[in-house]
This record gives sequence, structure tokens and C-alpha cells, in this order.
Amino acid sequence: MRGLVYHGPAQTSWDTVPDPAIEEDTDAIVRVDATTVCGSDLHIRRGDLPEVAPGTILGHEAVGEVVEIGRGVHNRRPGHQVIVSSVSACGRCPMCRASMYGQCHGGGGWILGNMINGTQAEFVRVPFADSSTHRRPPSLPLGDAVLLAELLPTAYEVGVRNGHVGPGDTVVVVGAGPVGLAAVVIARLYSPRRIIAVDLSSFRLEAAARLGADAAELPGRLIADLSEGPGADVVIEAAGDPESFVLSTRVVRAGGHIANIGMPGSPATLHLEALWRKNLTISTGQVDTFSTPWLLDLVTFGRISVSPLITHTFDLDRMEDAYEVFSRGPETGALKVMLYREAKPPPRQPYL
Amino acid sequence: MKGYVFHGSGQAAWEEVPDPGLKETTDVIVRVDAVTICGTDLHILKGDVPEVRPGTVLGHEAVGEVVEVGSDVRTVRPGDRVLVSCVSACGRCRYCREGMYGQCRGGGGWILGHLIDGAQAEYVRVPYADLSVHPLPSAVSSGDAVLLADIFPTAYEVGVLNGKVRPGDTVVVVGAGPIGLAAVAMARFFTPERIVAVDMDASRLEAARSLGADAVADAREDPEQLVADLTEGLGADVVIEAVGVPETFEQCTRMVRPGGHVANVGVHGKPATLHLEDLWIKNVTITTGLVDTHSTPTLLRMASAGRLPASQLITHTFPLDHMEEAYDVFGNAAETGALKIVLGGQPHDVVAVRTT
Repeated sequence: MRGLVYHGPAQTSWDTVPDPAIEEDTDAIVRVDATTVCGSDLHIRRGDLPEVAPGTILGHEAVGEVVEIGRGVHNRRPGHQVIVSSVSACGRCPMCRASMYGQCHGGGGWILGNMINGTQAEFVRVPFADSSTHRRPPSLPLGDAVLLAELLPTAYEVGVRNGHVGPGDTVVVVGAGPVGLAAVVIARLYSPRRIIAVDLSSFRLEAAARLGADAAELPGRLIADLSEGPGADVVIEAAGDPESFVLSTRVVRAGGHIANIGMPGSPATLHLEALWRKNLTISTGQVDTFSTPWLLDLVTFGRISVSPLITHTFDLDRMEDAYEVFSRGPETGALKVMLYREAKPPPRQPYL
Repeated sequence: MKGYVFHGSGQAAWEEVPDPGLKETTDVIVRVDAVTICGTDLHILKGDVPEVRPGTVLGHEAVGEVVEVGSDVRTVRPGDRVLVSCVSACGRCRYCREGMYGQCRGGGGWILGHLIDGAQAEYVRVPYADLSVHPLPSAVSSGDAVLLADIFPTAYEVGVLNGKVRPGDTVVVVGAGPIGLAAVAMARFFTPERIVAVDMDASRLEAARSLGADAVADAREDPEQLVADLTEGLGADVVIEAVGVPETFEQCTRMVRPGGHVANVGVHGKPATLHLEDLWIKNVTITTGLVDTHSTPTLLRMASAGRLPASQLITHTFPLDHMEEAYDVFGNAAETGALKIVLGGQPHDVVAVRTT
């Protein structure tokens, strides 16, 4: 088959590689019908995640059809349409029992496209298939379903939920890339008073306004006014650089929450000399994907509309072009790029 | 009357000052029977808290008798023995309505001995008395009660509650000064599996043991390894930072397990480095906070029931007019072994914590 292989910093290519095979009883092999590129894939390509060994197929988000299962897989069978979660879960360790699948100690966690071969390929081996895939309802378009593999649970769990967004809140989302925009969409479910999106890209600010942010602008007057005045109840940091984290700690009100989603490569300064008495709660986190079934319902029943987050579609074998477009998102306006096995994704079917 | 007056960086004196009078109809005047000194007072003396104006009487923790009340005060009367909370609360602003009195926007918050004259004096004016003083049950001595003005609610709210200590947890308390020791004692309310206290001072670690720490570690002897060994490499469920320097804060973020809590109680003067490049994936929750004193009624009930070991933290007692000597003893805790010092109050047995 073909897959996108990491060969070391700044080197990836769409190569012919061996087909994946069942290795453990609990594995499934999934034919990839749609996949996408994540910001963390760009980090890997840059060499920021040294634990990724050269030769690894990248990607951790996919939708497809189960083609083969191990003897220990009981709830999936060939022919099932599934969402492959970015987080694999053994389901048995203390972390999994506490629904903290992202921290799985039984061999799961974020391993796809990281510790083992990932989803940016024609087929993928999914470990612990029973607890690491979700059935895709026929009415759910492939692209929307791919967003449930990681993007939406991350925006919800690590952003909206950790930030404790509630009715009447002022919510600031720092960084209006795909995750920040998904946080805007999901935060609206909680009736905040206003959502302010901040970014440096005009494309992304326009997208934020379209997706329901009440204000979308460069870090400027609005942020300064909030910082000097009442402050935001919740700040969702989705940019992932140390400066935007410091901005988040300035704009939050006393007693407020900062939910860090970003994945910075370097430390940030925590101004405890000013913050010690501010009653802040700062959370960090990798997604656990415990919320995927609930989010799947919200998307399926139309409570949230996430298709606008998909700006570009490609055939699967144009993976390298997709990386190129996605990596220039702030300039090109690209948000999520979607790659499909079949040139045209099947049309949306009415939910029955 | 006499009071301990701040005169600018490094200068303060026990001297004659005008008696306080009622200024607002919600004020009371309290005759101070017991008062203590806080680490924050030392910060003020060093000049670290520039908003404190020279001429201010210091102190924000006291017990005494109400001697005069404003016309709008409803809950206390002259003659009542009360605890003066370190936090005053207007009771009406958004923060007060949420119980976050420390962030009061209506003229309260931490103002005593900070923005207005404080409690290290013979008398103190207490604003918003209905929400800022607590009538004391007779079972609690004045000397013990004074520790409920600040350190016990601080250790409880900002440490134990913010850290979300739960039954079965491994709790690490970094810094075994008065606040850290109070956190050790109150973390036990939630039946953790074990409490580990970390400090550099052997006598403080001994005090931590006597207050319920199951293990103690010298801060210079790799406490991170001890915590890793005790938790099968996972880290602590809750780490309470009760020192207030960048190194200990950063150590706390290394000792916490994925999904755990770091509750910062320490008063910091410098920024710390937050290693988000390691922490982003760890699902940690970090809290900061100034005490709100919303828990004071609960803690008073626990004290009445004999379940708050306040007197164990009191190492020295002085008459009220020995304020300067008390500051010397408290300011040289490394040599004197001082934890909390109470001035005034009933005579108290001195509990020796130095074993050498």
C-alpha cells in the first residue's frame, strides 16, 4: 500500500510500504476512506517530537471500513464503518478506568502516527479496536466524522470543559486555527455572554466571525480593555506559543480559568508574582476522547455544524500537497484539509 | 493607643497612635486580645508590597472583644468575643456573592494592615463587620482562634480544597512552615493514602510528622525520587506549594502525576517557568489564590470539636507590647524554630518543636 512516511526532520514522502497486518488479538485493520493532517503532524515533520522514529507512517485521525479483526475484537467486524480515534485505549489500566484514555498505561494513548504507524495511508492497524474506534452513523459525512477523531474532542475536553465555560461568561479564544475555531463552535452550546477570538491571521479572524465569535480581532484594544478591566471568565489558549500563554494569563479575570490546548515547544513564563493572588485555575491536557460519542450525537443531530472547518479536499495520494496547503494555513486560509480515498466524498444522506 | 507602625522599607516601631474610630456605619472597633505575625508582614517590612503606605499599622489576624459598633452592624454587639478575618467582605459585589471574598470589589478583600490600619495594635477598626468578623465559640481559646484568621483558611482553601485532595490520594506538601503544616493537618480530613512533607529544616519536618505527615523528605535529598518511588513512578495526585519561590513551584510541577493538581499557596515575588513543553500533555490543573475565608465557619466548628491542631503550631507567645521582639523571633525562624507566634491571648504552653 501507500503511506506518508516520516524519514527524519523535514523529510516525509508518500511511499510504497508493506500492508499492515494484525499483530495482537485486539487489533483491527481499517481501510482509510478519509483522513486529515493535524498541527502535531507538522510538529513531527519539523523534528519537534524526537520520539517519533524515522520510518513511521504519520497521522492519527481517520474514518474508514474495518477489513480485518483479531480474535479478541468483539464489537467490531469487517464491513463496519468506523471513526478511528486519535487516542487508543487499552480500557483496563487505572487511567483508562478513570476515562483518562490519553494517559493510558496499558499500551494505548496517542500512539497512532507517533509510536506506531498511523492513518495517513491506505490501511491502518488500530490497536485495542473495541475501545479505540467508534461506529459512524451512515448519515454522518466522512469529513465531519474525521473531525470527531481528535479535533472536536480536543476543543471540548481540553478547552471548553477544562475551562468551565458557562452561561454569561466572557470567553477569549487565543488562536483561531482549527482547534480554536472548534472551541468557538462548542463554547456556544453553553450560552456565554460573548466569545472573543484573537489571532494574527485575517483569514482566521474572518472564519471565527463566521463560526459565531462575537468579536474577532488582532490582540489589541479589546484584550487591553479586558486585561485592565473585568477580565475574561475563561481563556482558551489554542495557539501554543509562550507569548500567547502569557497573554492568556493577563486577560483572565481573578477567579477565572485558563485552559491550555496549545502544544508549545518551549517553556512559558508564569508571572506568579502577580498571579499568586488571582485565584486562577490553569489546566493543561492532551485529549482523552471520552466525549467522542456525545459529540458524535451533537454533530449527527445538527446541534453543531462543523463542516465549515473543512476548507480543502484532496485525493488520498496527494498527501504531500495537503501538507503544503495546511502548513501555510494562516496565509492561505486553510483550516482542516481532508483527504479522501474516493475522489468525491459520498453525498450527505438524510438521517433515518 | 499603641500599634506596630510601618515606616518604610526595613523600618517599623511599636508606638503611640490615635485610637481608631468608626468611619462607616458598617464598622466595628475591636479591642485586640490576641494577634499574630504573618510571613506577609515580613514581606511588607522588606518593602516587597509597595502599596502599603508608611504610617500604616500592620497585622491582619486577630481575636478580640467588640467595643463599639456602627449603626448598620447587625450580627455582633459590644462585649462579643470575635475572630477578625484577614479578609474583609462588602458582601454585595459579584465576587462576594460567589464567596470569593478575597477578590471583593466593594472595598473589601485583604485590606487590614495593607490598605488600612491593621490588627497589631490595642484596637482595630474592622470594616463590613457583619461579614468580616466571626463570633467565637467558647470552646476555642483566643490564642488558637487567631490562627483561624488567615493561616488555617489559607492552607485549607488555597491548598487542600483547590488541590482537590480525595480519599486515597498521595499528597505532597512542599514547605513545612506554618501554612504547609496546617495543610498537612487538614489534608487528613480527606483521608489521603499518604502525606509527604518536604522542607530543608529538620525541626519543621519533625513538626510535620507530629501533625500527620506519613513521610518527610529533606528538600536537598531528591524528594522527587521519593515521590516517584512511593507512587510507582506516577507522581503525586496533589502537590501543595507552600514556599513561594520559582524553584519549588517548578519542582511541584515535576512531582505531580498526569491528571493531578498543583495548588500554589506560596506568595511569590518572581516569575516561575512553566514547562508547558512537558506539561501540555499531562492534564494537570494548577491553581493560585488568595484566601477567601469562606471556610472559616467550618474550621471554627472543627476547632470547637477539637479537630484542628492549632496550638501545635504556636511555638512562642508574648505580651502584646513585645511586638518588636516577636518580629525578631519570627523573622529569624531558622534559628529560633518559630512557627506561629501569638501576642496577647491567654498564656499558652510553649510547644518545643526543636528536638536538638
